[in-house]
Amino acid sequence: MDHSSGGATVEDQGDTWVLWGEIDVAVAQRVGDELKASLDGSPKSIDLRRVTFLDSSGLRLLLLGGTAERGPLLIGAPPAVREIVTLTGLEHAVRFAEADGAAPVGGDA
Amino acid sequence: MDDAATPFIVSRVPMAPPEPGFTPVAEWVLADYDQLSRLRSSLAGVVGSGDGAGTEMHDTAEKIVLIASELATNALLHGLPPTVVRLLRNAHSWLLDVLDHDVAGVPTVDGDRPPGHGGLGLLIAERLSAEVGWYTSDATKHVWATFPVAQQG
Repeated sequence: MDHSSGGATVEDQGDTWVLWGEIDVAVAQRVGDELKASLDGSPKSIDLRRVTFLDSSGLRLLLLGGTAERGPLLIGAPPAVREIVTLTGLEHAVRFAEADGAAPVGGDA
Repeated sequence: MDDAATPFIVSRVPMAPPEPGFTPVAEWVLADYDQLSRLRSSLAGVVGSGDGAGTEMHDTAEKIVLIASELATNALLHGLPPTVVRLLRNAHSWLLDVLDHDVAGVPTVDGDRPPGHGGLGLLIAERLSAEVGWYTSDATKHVWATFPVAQQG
C-alpha cells in the first residue's frame, strides 16, 4: 500500500496528540520527534478515536506522553488498545477517558 | 533485580522448534518498517478469509496480525535482514514463523527493562498465543507462535 498508514498531529498548543490509523514502529519513528518536541512537563491528552491498530511500538509512543507523576490521558481508546495496555500490565501508567465528556480535542476543523 | 514496581513476569522464550507437520500457507519478505502495514493487511486477508479452509474467527485473526507485527518488528529491529514472515497451519493450529539471519541473538522477554524500553512485543506474544518458541537452523533464527484454529460450525 502506501506509506501513510498512520500518523499523528500535535494540537491545542501542544497539550493534545491526535493519532490516527495504524500506530506501529514505522509511524512511531516518523512522528516521535515531533511529539517529543511538544513535551513540557505536563501529561498529554492523546486522542485515539481514529486509531485502527496499535502494537507495542505504538504503546511506547503513548507512554512518552506521560510524566513521572501522571500517565497520559488516552481519549476514546479502542478496545484493542485497552487490551494491550492490560496485557502488558501498564494500566497504572496511563489514564483512560471516554471520547464523550472528555476535554474537547481537536476534531474536524 | 527485582523491582516491585515492575509488573512483568520475568521469563524466557523456550528454545524449541514447533511440532512438525505444518503446511505453508503464505510468506512475506520484509525489508523495512514501512512494509509492516502491508504485511498486516495481507495477513488479515489470508487468516480472515480462511484461505479456502473456512472463515477464521475475527478475534484470532486480530491476534495473529498483532503478533506478526510484534515479531516482525523485533526481527527488523534486532535481527539481520531479510525478515521473513511465514504463515502455516495444520488441522488445529495456525503457526506464525518469523525468520531473520542473526543466529547469535537470543529473544528474551524480561522485566528488567522499565516500561517503554522494550521486551513488550514478546510479552504480548506469550500472552496472546497458545505457544511461543524460538530456534536456529543453519543461517536463520526462527521465532514462532501458534494459535488455535477456530472450530468450524
